[in-house]
Amino acid sequence: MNATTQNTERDKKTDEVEILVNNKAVSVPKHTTGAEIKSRAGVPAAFELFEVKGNKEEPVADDDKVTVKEGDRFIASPSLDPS
Amino acid sequence: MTEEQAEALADVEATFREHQVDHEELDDGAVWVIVRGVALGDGWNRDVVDLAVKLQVTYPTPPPYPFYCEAGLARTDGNVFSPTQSNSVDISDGVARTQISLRIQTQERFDDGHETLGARFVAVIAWLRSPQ
Repeated sequence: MNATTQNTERDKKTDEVEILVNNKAVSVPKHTTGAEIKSRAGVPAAFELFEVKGNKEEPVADDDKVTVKEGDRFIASPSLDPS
Repeated sequence: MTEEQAEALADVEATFREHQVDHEELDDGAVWVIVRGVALGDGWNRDVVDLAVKLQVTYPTPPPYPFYCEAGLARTDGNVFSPTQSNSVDISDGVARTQISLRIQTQERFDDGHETLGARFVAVIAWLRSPQ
């Protein structure tokens, strides 16, 4: 592996952070989207995504651009039907 | 408490770190899981509720349903949404509660491979904050 390849690999790694989705650790790019977070977490694309901020859960749309930091918390859940 | 119930409770506690989460084990093996002090947002006659669900001893079958909060929950504008229309039910324990009827219609077993109980609570709270 040459130096350029090593640098690229290292840059790619440092651009990734570990967040929690449904209380499980998931590695995502620092600058990501709602859809990518769901994809990396392995949850169905149809699930709704929420970012946990203190005692509030704020919806994150698929195409929302999100900048995350280590330990940020997200919840993915299906839409529920009235019954 | 079964292993599945204990894992679900631990997940709710991890999801709602900023809240008090209580549980109560019943003689038949069911477990109440209660998230205290959930803020509802505008339009309800209560600012906060204690949101609860009863996990049967067979959990994750059936899925967690229905959810409950204090009796008498209503919209301040008089609108009635079907999931909260039963706002004074007694499930044979002498306690009146509002039933929150939200679920995945086709689901017979909780999909704990993808979903968690904490996430299900969040979905119910999201509906309460933006009912339709």
